[in-house]
Amino acid sequence: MRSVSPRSICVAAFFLGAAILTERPASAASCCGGGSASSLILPKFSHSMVDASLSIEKYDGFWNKEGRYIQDPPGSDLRQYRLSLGYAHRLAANWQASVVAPYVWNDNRYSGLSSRTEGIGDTSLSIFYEAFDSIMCTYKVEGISDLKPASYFGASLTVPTGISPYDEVESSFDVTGRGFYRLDGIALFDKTVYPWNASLLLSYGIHLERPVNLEYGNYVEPYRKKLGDRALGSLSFGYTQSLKEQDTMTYTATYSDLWEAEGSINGESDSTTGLRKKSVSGTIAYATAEKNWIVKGSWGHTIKQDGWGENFPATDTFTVGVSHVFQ
Amino acid sequence: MCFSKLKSSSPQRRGGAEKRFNAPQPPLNLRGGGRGLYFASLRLRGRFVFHLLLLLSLGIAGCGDMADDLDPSGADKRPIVAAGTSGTQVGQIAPDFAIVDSLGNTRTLSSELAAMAPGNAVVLYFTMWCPICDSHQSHMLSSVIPAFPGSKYFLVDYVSGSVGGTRQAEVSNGYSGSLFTTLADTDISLLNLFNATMSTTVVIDSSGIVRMNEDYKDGSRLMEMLKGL
Repeated sequence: MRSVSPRSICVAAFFLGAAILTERPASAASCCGGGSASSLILPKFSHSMVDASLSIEKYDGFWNKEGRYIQDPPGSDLRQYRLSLGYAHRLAANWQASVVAPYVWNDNRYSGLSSRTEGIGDTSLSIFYEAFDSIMCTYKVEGISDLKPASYFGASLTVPTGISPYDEVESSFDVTGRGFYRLDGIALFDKTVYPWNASLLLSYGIHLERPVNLEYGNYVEPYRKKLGDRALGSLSFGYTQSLKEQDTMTYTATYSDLWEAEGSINGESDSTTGLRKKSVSGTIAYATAEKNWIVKGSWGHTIKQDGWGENFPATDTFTVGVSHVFQ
Repeated sequence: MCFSKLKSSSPQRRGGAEKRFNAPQPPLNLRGGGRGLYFASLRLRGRFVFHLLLLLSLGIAGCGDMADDLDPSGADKRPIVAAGTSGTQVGQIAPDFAIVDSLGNTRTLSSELAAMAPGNAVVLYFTMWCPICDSHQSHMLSSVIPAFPGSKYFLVDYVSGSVGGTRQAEVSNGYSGSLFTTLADTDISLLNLFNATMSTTVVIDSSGIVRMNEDYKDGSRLMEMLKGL
């Protein structure tokens, strides 16, 4: 086997974790707001990182509240394009922070109506604590201590910088965000036994209640609204292939399950809300030998059959991105 | 979009290709000034992030559209409407309109109201056959229509573009033969007339007055409105 440094392994492993976060299902939809940003995680011992990615999300039907899959009207072609720019920065040996902001283009074409709108999406601010001080990756397991994962614990605040239904907008097609602050607690466990990797991401978020007096540009009788709590679990498995000159190619498969509870209006539960979305994704990440440049491509897919979601659009998301790590 | 004018600031890059495996940790052999310099550099990095976030916040705060969400208001700003005037705002007399349903029959507001007993209403729900729309429509079928059977309930399809398309969407979404009548707003005239969008719900009472024109939400406002007729 070629000689690959522990650092290289860990950076490769990090990008598996990063892939999970990147594939965090957003609330994107032409009908439901969208463009939620995900979080960035900086590799251990790196100083900072910039990240840019372009996503194309194509809508293809939806699941109703009972989980039945229903196709979109004939002749419809609904897409959302997102350019996400992110920056992560090490604050201290075990602390890091990041900001990710997407710019969103909605492109909705129905047989009887077309709309193209754009605007910034909801921004994500995150802070993570790394509960480990040394490299947790290994070539082989020689004892129980070698099985200890790299653990990240963090918090993420979604800031409603996007255009929501509660702004001065004319139509649902203008919407690029949900209009609510959300605070998520995130735990990421990542283990690499070279060349294999496994990651588990768990997050739980609460939306903050807000007053509403404007709906799609029309003033209405004021009321208080809160979206439901949100939970996400993602499990990933990856394999890192060594290329020439210690470049690496990492292949990752992820299964994600997103759930959001019913929201409330004036304190009363809103039975028309709440959602569920199960999805799979595949990611390929190429990293240079120095692990300072990474090029990624991913495909997120939902199974367009009954029972794979509730009250949510079915989509396919194609993403290409590049990251630069400052050591 | 004001954000398109924002310039992103570039982080300070550190030159050199030297690899420092444990770079962020203070070297153990550093004492006094050395460790002080190390932590000073960390403070500088933190300050950089602070300035970056400050810049972002200022940019966001400068965008009027976003301020509604960043600092939302609960003030009642509904405009005062002169009673008896014609229009589609709450309190106004709805203008008559004609529209074709999914079976090709022409419907007019005046004829629907004329055939209706007092205390009932015409309810228009604007749909684009989305998950939220379906959730609202299902809620109406299960909770609203049984409680207020004397009113007439119409789904207004403004996306299919043809009567045939509306019929196809109605069938594939499971609303054929339901208690809804689906209207084909092929030229989006009804959408524009009521300044509507997805899930806008309009209630017009038997005397032709608009009693509600807003998002469906959880349906409680619609039920309150129908109960108060």
